[in-house]
Amino acid sequence: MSVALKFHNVKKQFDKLEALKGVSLEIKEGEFFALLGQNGAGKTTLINCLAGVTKRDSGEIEVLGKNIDTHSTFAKTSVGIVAQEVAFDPFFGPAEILRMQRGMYGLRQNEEHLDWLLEKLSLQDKKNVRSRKLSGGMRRRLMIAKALVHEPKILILDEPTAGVDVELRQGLWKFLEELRQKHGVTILLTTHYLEEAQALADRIAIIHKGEIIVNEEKKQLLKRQKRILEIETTDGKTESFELESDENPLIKLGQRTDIKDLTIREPKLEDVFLDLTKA
Amino acid sequence: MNLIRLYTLAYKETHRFLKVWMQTVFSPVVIAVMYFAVFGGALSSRIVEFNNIPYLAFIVPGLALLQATTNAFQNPSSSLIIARYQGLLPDLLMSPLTAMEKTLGYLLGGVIRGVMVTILIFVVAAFFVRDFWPEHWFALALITFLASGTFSLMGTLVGIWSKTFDGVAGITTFVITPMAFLGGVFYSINALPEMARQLSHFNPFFYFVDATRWAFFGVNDIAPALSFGVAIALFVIFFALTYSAFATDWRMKN
Repeated sequence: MSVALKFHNVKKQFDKLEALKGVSLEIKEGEFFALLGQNGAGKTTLINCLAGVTKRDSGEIEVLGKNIDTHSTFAKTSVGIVAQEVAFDPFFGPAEILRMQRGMYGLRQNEEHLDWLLEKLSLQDKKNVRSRKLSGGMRRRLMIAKALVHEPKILILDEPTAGVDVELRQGLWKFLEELRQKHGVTILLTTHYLEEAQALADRIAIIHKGEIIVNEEKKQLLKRQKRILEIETTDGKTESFELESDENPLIKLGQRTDIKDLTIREPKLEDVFLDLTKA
Repeated sequence: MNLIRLYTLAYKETHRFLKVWMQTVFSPVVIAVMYFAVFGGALSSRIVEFNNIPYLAFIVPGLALLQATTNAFQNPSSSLIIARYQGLLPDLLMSPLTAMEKTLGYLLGGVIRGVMVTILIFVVAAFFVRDFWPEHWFALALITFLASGTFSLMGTLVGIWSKTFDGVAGITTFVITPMAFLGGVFYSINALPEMARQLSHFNPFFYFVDATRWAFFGVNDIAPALSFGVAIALFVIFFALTYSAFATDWRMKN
């Protein structure tokens, strides 16, 4: 698999704050990559450096093997970015916004693609209403449509589900899966919702105080955390034991006869994340 | 240069003001009509003629220019400051639009608004002024384009520079409006005292007004070659400044 996105030693300083301390990261084509980090960890700054919204101090960024400074048009047309902040021109309706967004990328209009996007993001019946009349969820979906209207090969979503209800979030996950499976879109997602990364990502990186502290396949990352075996004894007490990933819980319990109930807690990304970022 | 990208930006900038045509096109025409009514109807008999032209007719080209330029200025400046406030500047930075496409796109939006306002004011003025017919059509079209274009470029620069609505309003109130009003829209600079007349030569707007009046009536305070020369020079200077502002992402990136 070739590399879709490459960050090499990217640094950015805002006054006294070192927002990115030499971040290096590679995201392969077709991969679903999650970048996790607490507020202010540097996730958005990194994305903004790629988007050209923030000027990085040093380091190189490549999109599909081409440097974003020397192949700016190629890089910009290959990437679609869903920014954290919901922003659209209130003068226009969703369909108009999307047509203009496509035109800004130098592409001829494609009504079929536009209808497909509106349909997928449940905006078809709102395509011509003034955008300021859209609900919060619809606005979020419009942002995603905006990032996809020029048919990019790489989609970057900066906390796309913040403040979004469960149903919408699930729908969005399904759509992102479809984009990757059927259309081969590489996805980079930053999120606060660790369950989101756990459900969708192949590979996860954690950024902490401007540094990548871990970058592993999800399965590998989850193995860092042990499974927990919890038992409730017949006399009402609870006990818990750590299990190795391939360890049989029944063997661990041996010949004990005082067990009333038994639960196994699978490793959660949340625990791994808290463990790694608590320092 | 990609023509689809340029067309889209120019379309967006034009479509935006047409959506609110009442305040962007109709309002400047109504204001101009008010001037016609006051200066033409109520006061014209008490005001001397300039260059043997009835006062009402004399002020029409300048008034059209005043409205055209202020509107051409407002189009990109308000578009950019609204974009900044609504978090839409990243869209501009993320798009593959080149500096030339951005410069031309914003320029065209302002010019189209300025030219529309000019045409409408001339149409309305034809009802107020007898024998209202320009002498030099091509020169009139050229100076209308140069004036609207220069002010549209100035508006783009101010829109990029300003980080607040107050910044744009301040430049409009303290620079653009006085420059336009003191540029000879309502008088010939030959009627001014020597000192004021000399100072008028430092006002760029004066050259646009004089060129417009010459294109319309064939009368002028300075040689048309000079006024058109200054107008072209100002257009080129502001074009270059706007282009380099976009090329360097001046005041746009974090």
